[in-house]
Amino acid sequence: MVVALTAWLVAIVIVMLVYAGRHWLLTLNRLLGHQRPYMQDIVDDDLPGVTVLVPMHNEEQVADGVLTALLGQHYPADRLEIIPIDDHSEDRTQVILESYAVRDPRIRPIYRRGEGARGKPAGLNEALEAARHEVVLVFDADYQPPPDAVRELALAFFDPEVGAVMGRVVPSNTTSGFLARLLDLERSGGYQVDQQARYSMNLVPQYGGTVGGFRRSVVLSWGGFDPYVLAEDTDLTFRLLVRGWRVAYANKVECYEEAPQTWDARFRQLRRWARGHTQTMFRHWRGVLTSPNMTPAQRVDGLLLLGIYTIPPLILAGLALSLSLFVTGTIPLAATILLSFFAVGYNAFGNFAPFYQVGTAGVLDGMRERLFLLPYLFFMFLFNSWAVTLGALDAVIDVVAGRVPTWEKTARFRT
Amino acid sequence: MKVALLVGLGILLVAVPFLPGVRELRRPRDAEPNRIDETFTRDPRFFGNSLREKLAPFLEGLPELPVVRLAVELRRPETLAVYTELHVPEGAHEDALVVALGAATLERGTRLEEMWIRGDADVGPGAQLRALACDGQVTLGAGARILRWLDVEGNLLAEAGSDLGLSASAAGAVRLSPGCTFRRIWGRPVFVRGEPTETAPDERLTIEDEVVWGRTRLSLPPGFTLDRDLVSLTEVRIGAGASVSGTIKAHGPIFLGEGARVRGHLISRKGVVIGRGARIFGNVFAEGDVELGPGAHVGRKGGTKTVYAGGRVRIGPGGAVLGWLIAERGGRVE
Repeated sequence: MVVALTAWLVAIVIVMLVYAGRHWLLTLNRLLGHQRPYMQDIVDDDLPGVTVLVPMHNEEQVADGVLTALLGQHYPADRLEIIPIDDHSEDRTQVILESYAVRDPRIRPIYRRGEGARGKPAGLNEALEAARHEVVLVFDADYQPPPDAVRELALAFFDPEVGAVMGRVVPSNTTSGFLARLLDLERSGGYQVDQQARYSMNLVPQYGGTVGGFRRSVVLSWGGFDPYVLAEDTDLTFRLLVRGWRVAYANKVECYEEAPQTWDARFRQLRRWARGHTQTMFRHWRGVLTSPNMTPAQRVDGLLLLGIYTIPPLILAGLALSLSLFVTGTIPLAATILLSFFAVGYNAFGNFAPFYQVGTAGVLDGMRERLFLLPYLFFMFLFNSWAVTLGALDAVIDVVAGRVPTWEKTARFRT
Repeated sequence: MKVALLVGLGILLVAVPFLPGVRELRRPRDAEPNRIDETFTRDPRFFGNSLREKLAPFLEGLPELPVVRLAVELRRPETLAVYTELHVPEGAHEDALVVALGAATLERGTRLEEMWIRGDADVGPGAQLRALACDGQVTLGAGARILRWLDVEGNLLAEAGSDLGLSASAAGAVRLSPGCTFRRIWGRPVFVRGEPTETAPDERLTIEDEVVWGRTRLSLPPGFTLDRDLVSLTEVRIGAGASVSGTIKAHGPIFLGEGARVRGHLISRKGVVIGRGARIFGNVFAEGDVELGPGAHVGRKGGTKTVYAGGRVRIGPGGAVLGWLIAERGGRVE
């Protein structure tokens, strides 16, 4: 028994070290390696038709912002349509959308009411049926795409290998408080370093579902999004990958979003992400292992990406194991020191954006005093670990009990 | 006592990394969001138009004198010299910002900073300018050098060995000569003077007479026609006179034989070599070098396309791009 527990503990440490190696590799690539260019510099007067989808549920606080930004895009009017998807809103969202639709024929809202599956994937499916163009971009309702965002994202689809594209998310409400500032750091590391390095190294950049897009025909060819998947973006990433498509990452296509401002909202968001991501892991790990369309490096990175939300539960398991082995006197005090190292190690190596990734992103982005907040990411790590653990457990329970997850929207804070 | 001291020291050591952050949290100095320029739009002629916009207000109500000197405040205090007609003699030097309301002639070896010429500009051999916006035509003499950028409302003629700086743009045509170097050129079209001359056959462009679907390369024979996109994990070779109606994407280099035609784009994770007289109607995007052979054309009449090279660009005589030509590591006319 003791041998088994010790072996399990060692296995967890090895997994941690693998993630550590991956994060170091990505960071070193971003600092020292060749950076793969994106196509944003291409100027072409023959752009593809684009349908922009904006899923909305009770978005009266932010609907004006995203629609105004989309109407201000530098894109040929006859090749752009905007479909806001009003998904059972109970506030003034519909009124706002109607007023925009009257003013501009590019806006063709869909109002989802009555029975049927709710949530983002179901809404996207309905909109995909109504969409007129092959290139489909998706922005969340709290996003404010700058004027060239649609053009620059659409360029990715000149590449016949690209099935989806993702831009960079930048929190706009960093002055709102401590949480938003930490999330800003986390996002910087995650996009400026992690996503860009994965793109440069031809690994697995991830379609994030908020400032990005995909090919309509490809998604429709497999029947659209699964309405009962919580992380339809990750699901799409891996469906594309195992079929030989690639995801492009456009680091210079930056877009403001509203980061959660309360710990409760962030906890719910993260728990939902972890649940959805783990659900996706259960669906795709075999496909990643066996797909003939992925390189060995993509396979490894894909598996590590799929498993990233299992790390916090593993850490907690490792913690419990160490404690039990210590309490029963099986291992000496030194093990607890190891344990502390382990926890700190995770903060350094296994979190969504370890501190050195954030620091690297900070240097690349020209951050100054905000880098002094890096040590505070330790609290974020503890918070994240708990939220992610619960989310991953949710996913396990979903599988075991046959429970169907329901979509939950992240709260908005704009006034 | 000793224990208390140790505990206190321990707490202090743990707290130290958090202390600088306390100040930032209490009195934020770097709390604004990462800046996204929400007015930015990709405009190859941005520099020239921006300078014109900045200087235009200073030109209103000036006395009619051959030259007027003004103290202006742009990024820093500067002197603005406004000439009705400008002639800079051989070897002369001017530190001020210069505006010429008419034509300008810069003789051999002159040195100037930023200029706005509202007539035509004749830049002599070996002259050196920091930046030039011109509302007429520009002739850059042999060996003339632009340090930053050049923007022309009319046509631009660059003589042999001239350096077009980091960005050169023209609303009209850009005619390059052998030995010209550049980073980014915008023109409708950008082309190299002279007819293609006979050159030694490029061995890299030798392509078999049969289709090769290999693990290390993919090859379409001369005269072959393919009416779809082509994606390859290795290199791609397209034979002379072959025609591809879709886009070619390769993780290795792409070699396009003499007279081949591609209706779509060429996208390579390495380099692209375009043979003599080949035509690409879409964009060319290469993470490595791009070689545009003699008489090869990219783009279509009346349209705008881009050739992007993450590495270097080399253009042969008679080569042309209708739109934007970008060489991140520098380009050169052969």
